[in-house]
Amino acid sequence: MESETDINMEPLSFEFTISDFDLDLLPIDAKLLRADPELLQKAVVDYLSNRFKPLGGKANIAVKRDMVAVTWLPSSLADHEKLFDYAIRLLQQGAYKPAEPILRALLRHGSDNGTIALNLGMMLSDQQRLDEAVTLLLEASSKMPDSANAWNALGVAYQRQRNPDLAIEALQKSHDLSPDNPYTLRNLGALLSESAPEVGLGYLRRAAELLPNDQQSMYGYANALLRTGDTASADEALKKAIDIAPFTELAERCRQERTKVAHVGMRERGGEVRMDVVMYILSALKLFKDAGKQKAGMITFEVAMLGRSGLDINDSAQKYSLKSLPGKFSGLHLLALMYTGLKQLAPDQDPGVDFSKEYTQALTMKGATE
Amino acid sequence: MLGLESGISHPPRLTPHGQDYGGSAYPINVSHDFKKLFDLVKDRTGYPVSVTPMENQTSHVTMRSATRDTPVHGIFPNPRYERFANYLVATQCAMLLFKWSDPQGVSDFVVNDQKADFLKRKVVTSFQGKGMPTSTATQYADSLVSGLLLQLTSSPLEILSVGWCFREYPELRVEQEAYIATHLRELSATLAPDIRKMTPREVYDRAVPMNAAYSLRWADLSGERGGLLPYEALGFEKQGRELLKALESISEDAPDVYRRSVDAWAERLHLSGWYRWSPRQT
Repeated sequence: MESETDINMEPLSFEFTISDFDLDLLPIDAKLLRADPELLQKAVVDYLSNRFKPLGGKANIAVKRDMVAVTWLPSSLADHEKLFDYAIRLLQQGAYKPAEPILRALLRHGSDNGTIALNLGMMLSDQQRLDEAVTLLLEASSKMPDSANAWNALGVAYQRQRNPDLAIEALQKSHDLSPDNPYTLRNLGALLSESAPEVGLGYLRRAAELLPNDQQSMYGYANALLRTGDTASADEALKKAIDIAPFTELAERCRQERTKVAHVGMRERGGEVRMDVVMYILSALKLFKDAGKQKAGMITFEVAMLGRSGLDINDSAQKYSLKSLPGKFSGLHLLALMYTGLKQLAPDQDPGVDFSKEYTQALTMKGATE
Repeated sequence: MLGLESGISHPPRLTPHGQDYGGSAYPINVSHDFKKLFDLVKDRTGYPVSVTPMENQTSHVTMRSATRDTPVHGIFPNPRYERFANYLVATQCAMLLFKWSDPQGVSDFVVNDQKADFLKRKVVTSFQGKGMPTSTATQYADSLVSGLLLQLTSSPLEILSVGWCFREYPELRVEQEAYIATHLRELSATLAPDIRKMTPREVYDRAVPMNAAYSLRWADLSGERGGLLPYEALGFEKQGRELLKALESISEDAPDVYRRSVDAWAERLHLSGWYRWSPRQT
C-alpha cells in the first residue's frame, strides 16, 4: 500500500472541447443546449461541479470559448481513488466521452498499477477502438500478470479483433489463474460452445452457478443446454433468467424461448393435431358466443396476464383459477381459451403459440354441429 | 449489443481496490424483488399486478389500473427504456397506491368535452392563422389539449411517486437518477424556441409550469439543480414552485390525495371545471 507521501499530489488537469461532452449526461434537451451556448456552459459547469464536490479536494472548472478546463487538487490519496471510482461509474453508465479524459489524465499522472489501463482498455474495446485497446490491455496484463480479469479482457478484445486463437489463449490463461472466475468461464464457454457445445456447456454451467444473478450468464447457459438438446434443464434455466430481471428485453427473449420449448414438448407428446386442444377451443367458442364480447375480452386479458409468469402446458393438472371464470383449469386449457379469444377479438396479435390446426379443426367441427 | 449477441463481454470494471461492481460492462439489469411491493398493491387494492413489456408506445410506461371487468393492474414498460424498468414499475405501483388510497373511493378523471372542444377550436384557429392545413391543425390541437389534461391528471401523481420511491426504495436510486435525467431532458425539449412559438399560450403556459414543478421536486430531493436551469432562464420557476407548494400542502396519507392534488393544480392552472370525477366500481 502506498503511503500518503508517496503519491503524486500535483494538481490533475484535463480539458476537452465542449462539443465532445456527452450531452446525454445532462438533464436538458441537446437541441436546446446547442441553441443556447450560455445555457450549455452553465449546464456543463453545474454538472461537473456536482460531480467533483463529493470527491473532496478542490476543483476549478472553467470554460473558455468551446474548451472546458478542469483542474483538480486532491487533498488525499482517498480523493484520488474517488476520482477513479467516479470514472468507473461513468463507464458503467456508458458515458465514455467524459470518462476518457479522466482516465487518460489519471494514466498520465503515473501511479497506475494496471487498473487504469485495464478500464481504459475495456472502454476502448467496447468502442471498437481495438488496436489501442489491445495495447492497453497488454500493458494491464503485464503490470498485473496474475489478474484473471486483465487476461479475460485481453481475450475479449482479441476475439473482437477476430483473432480467436489469441482470444482462447488469453482466456485460457485467465482460467488457469482463476478457474472459478465466472466472467472468464462465461466468455470461454461462449467461444467454445460455437464449435463444441458439450465442452462450452461445462464452462457456462459453472458460470451460471457462480453468477446466479447475472441474467446474461443464465441465458447463455440455457442456450447451451438447448443446443445440446436438454430442453427440460434449459426451461429451468430460462425461468431463472426471467426471475433475475423480469422486465428486460432479454427476459422477453427468454419467455419466447420458453414458449417455443413448451410448444415443442406439447407437440412431441400429442402429435400433429392435439384433440384435447381442439375440444378446449370448441368449448371456448361456445363460451365466448354465450358470454358476449366483453366477457370474452375479460377472460382473454386475464389469461394473458396470468400467462406472463408462464403457464405449464405440459402438466394436465387443473391448478389454475381465474377471477373472471369459475372453475379450475390446466395450463393447456387456459392457453386454448386465450388463443380462441385472441383469434376472435384481436386476430393481429401474436398469441405466442400455434394452435392454428386445432383452431381450424374446431371451427370445422362447430360448423358441422350447427 | 456486442456482448449480448456473441455471449462475449468484458469482466466488470475494477477499482484500484479490486472491488467487484457486479454485472457486466453492458447495460446493467438491476434485479429487484418486487414481490413485497406487488403484495402491498394487492393488499391495498384487492387486485394483483402484472407487468408486460409493450413495444410501439411513445410513453416510457403505460399503466391500466384494474376494474371489475379487467381484474388486474397492468403495467406495460416500454422495452426501449429497459434500463429504467425497475424504477418505472416501482413508480407505477406507487401511483396505484396513491390513486387507491381509499379503495372504496377510487375516482376516474373524466374530461368535460365542452371545455376541451372549445379550447381545441381556439387552437385550430390559431394554427390555421399560422398557415397550417385544417386537418393537421385539428389533429395537432387534439393531441395538445388531450396531452395537457393527461398531464394534469398524471403529473401530481408522478411527483408524489418520485418522492415515494426516493424514500422507500433507496436501492433504486441510481436507476432513478438516470431515469429522471432522461425524463427532464425530454421535458425540456418543449422549451425550444420553435415549440414555444408554435404552441398556443393557453396550453403552453399551463404545461410548462407542471414540468417546472417536477424539475423542482427532483432538485429539492437530490440537490441536482441542472434540470432547473432552463426553467429559471425562461422564468417558469416561480409558477412551478407554487404548484409544488400546493402539492406539498396535501398529506400524502390522505385517502383522497390523488383527487385533491389534481384539483389543487387545476385551480392554479385555471382548469377547474374542465373535468369531473366519476366514482369507479371496484
